[in-house]
Amino acid sequence: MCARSVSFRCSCCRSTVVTNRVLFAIGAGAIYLACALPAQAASATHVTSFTVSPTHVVGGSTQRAVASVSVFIDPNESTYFLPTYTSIVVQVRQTTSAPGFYYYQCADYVRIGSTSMTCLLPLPLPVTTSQTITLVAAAGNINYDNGNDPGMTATLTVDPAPAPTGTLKVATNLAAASFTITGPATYTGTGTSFTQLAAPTGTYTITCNPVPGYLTPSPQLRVLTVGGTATFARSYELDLRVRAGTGAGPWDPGTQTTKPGTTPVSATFPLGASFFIQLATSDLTGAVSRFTLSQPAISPPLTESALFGGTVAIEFDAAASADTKYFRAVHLGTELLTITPSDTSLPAVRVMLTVNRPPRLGGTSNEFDSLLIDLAHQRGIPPDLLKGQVAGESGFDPMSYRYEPLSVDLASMSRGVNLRTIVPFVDYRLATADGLPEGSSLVDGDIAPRSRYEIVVDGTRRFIAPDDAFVSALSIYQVNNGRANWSKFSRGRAARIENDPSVLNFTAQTPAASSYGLLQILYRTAVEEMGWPGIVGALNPSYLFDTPPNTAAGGGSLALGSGYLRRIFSKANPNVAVFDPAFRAPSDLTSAFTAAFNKYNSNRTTGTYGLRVVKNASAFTPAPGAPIFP
Amino acid sequence: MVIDRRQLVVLGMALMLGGSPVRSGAQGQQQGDEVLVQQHFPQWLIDESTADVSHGGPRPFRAFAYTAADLNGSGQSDFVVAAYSNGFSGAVVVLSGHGAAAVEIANPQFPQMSGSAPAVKAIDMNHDGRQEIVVSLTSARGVSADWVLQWDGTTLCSIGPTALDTNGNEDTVLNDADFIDFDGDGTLDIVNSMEFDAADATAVDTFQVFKLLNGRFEAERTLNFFETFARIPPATERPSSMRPVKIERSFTIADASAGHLMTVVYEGEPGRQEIRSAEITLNGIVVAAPNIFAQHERVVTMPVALRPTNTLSIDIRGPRGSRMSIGIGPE
Repeated sequence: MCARSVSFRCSCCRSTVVTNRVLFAIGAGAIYLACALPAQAASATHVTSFTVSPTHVVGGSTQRAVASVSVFIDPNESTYFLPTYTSIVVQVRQTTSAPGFYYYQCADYVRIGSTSMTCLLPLPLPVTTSQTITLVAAAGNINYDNGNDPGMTATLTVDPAPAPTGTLKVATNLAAASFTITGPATYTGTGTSFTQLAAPTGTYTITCNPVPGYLTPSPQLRVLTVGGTATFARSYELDLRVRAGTGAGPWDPGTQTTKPGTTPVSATFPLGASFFIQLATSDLTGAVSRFTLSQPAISPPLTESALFGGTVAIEFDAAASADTKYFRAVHLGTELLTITPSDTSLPAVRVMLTVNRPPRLGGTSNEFDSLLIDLAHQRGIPPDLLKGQVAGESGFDPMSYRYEPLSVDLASMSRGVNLRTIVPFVDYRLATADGLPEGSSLVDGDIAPRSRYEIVVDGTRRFIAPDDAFVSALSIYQVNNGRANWSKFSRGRAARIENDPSVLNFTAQTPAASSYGLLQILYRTAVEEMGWPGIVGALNPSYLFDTPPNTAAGGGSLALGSGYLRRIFSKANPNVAVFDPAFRAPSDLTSAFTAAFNKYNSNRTTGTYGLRVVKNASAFTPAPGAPIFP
Repeated sequence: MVIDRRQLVVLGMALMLGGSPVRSGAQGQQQGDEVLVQQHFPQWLIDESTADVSHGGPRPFRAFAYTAADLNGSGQSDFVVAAYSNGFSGAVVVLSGHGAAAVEIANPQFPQMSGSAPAVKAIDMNHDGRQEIVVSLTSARGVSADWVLQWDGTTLCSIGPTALDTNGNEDTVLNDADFIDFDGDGTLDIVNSMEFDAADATAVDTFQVFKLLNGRFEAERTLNFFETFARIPPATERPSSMRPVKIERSFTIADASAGHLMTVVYEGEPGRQEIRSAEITLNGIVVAAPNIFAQHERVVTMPVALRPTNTLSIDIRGPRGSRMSIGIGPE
């Protein structure tokens, strides 16, 4: 504190009057304006009350304190201006040691008697440390008895002026975040949001602390100005990787990798794809986790019963923890995959799976892909498998056709339960040698397919002509069995024929006792088991060919055949929950479909047919329409 | 007979028959049995269809077939065995008695029994007086799967060749099987059909033979060729004629280097007319001369040498309809 210059002369010297004043003295090294005086009489001039307000000031000389002083002036006081005024000096002085020095003359020329006054005390210069100062107010005639009044005391606490401040703010992306802000002051905080008011101005640096599973953000520097706000924004990035591909596993060269964030990673796979997803650390070491699918959104919605209608992708061995999980996309749409590491210090990662339409199924015979994809989605049958079955059944010939003289015509159409006499088969019947008329709804297109079979007429072997009538099943069987293998596929009935060929002496119902189209659906199966409504009610067998007009109008074999496969799947696999299945491995799903294909074909789960379909399907892998990760 | 279809319109309209919307078995003995069998249509089959149709599946479908059978060797066909289908699932129910007095006594569970167009037949496989049951149901392609069942006193148990899935579910491996006493021991064996796969032209002929051993049919051998040959002369032939009828077949095998056996069964079932003699030529070599048949053995087995592609030629002599079966397979 700087000392203020003041001139005075000791009153006991009764010499020069400098002034009549109330003086305050504040500060270290107090100066006592009054000289030592004798003890004061009761009526002697003296200060009767003294207070300071406020008693606590901040900021040193930038503020003022008000001193309230009451004083009694003795009339007998020998004063310079008696009788009316006395040249009494009321002074305030400091009695405690404090840095700096200060005094103040509160009043001069005080009237005789009692007088109250206030005066504004200048305060010390800015201080760097807090201090409490004792003030003494005293009165006296400088020329006469200055110093007789012992005065009254009051205290004043002076704190240094605060430093200029502003507001610090921190935003992070992680509740588990913690950080330290260093600068003019030091602060620590946690979470996604932090605010520090009244922070001293200056330059601050935030340093984030490590959080397991995340990359620690780098330090950030900000300057805080007076009244301003300095905002730190720090983002923790997951120190994990999501890896995915359609190969055999993460070691496959085609594996794609992305960094997860706090929002779900988007991963897109084509319908039918077999794919894997791995959670790994930044060094690509797998992180054992639980993979949980939720929130399936199948789109477009399923319009009828479907396999696996509770998910867009089947997760294999879902209950087990592993770093890599395998899936099969079975419906179009989206589903959230939450990957929760077994190491609880690592954060969960979310992946939004999107199953979209593959642009094609393999590189060959793609003309039916769009229809197959539609049906695969609706049925829950992987489209490559469906296409593999088409390849096996018809070689992609939409006009594929096969007459079944033993297993259908002999068994149930013309013999057995004699379906040809039952509605609706009666309407699509060829006229028979035993007197049944041609069905009223039969058209030439229903009859024509039989022309691929030969018969012997009058000793001449030739193809069946459109106008041939009463062509017997036996005549077709005898000439074409070597090529069609009917007897090998149907030993029991073949034995009957071999014993007595006359059992086939009936008019071959080549329209109704045959299978049609890409999936070779049997006409009887379409009409009876599948309840085919036909095309505008017309159940003509030829409408089961997979021509564009037929398929557009509700005909064709694909919808019916895939529908049959969907339904028979649960018979081939009675322990599989078809809505939300629990397959342990991808091969289990393949085996389940293999069994279902066998059921479709020969009504037993064993055999080589299903295996051949699966083998065919390997050539029709769904092509990706987009990168797995955007 | 083949005539021109265009000539049939007037004739056909005059003879048109109406169809019945209800399908039922053709093997029932009595009208009462048929009504009873309908009444016992398993509710779970109906429920299954109803549940599926409520989610857009095909409309419900029902079919059944039944046969009377002597399951317990009483000498009477005092059981009715019915097979049911909703188009996809199959079921079997056993009724005791006939008509109004019949009661359901067993509904054996076969979770993988599936298919449509049910058929049931009763066959005494081992000639013990107790008939076994063969239930057949067909696939989407019309191929029938056969279940061979035997009465154990309380229910029908599967004794046919089956395969078990990983959950222990049993499914038949038979498709339209041929039941024939292939080895002449008096018990019918099973010759299974080749697996139906019309598109697989490369498939090698394979027929599996199953034999009843210890109460169950077990795989016994594999045949590359199997066929039953009957002497079917032209219709114009005199009934008393015994002129030989020549039949020719060809077949392929995968491995011609291995040794093969030819088995000739010329009296497969009692009551059949016997082949009097036959000459069998394989790839131009006579492998069975007519004198073999003079030995009156029901089954004759002989080693044969095969080629990848083989031609089998048979001259059959005997009454109309007389027959024999020939099987050729690895030793």
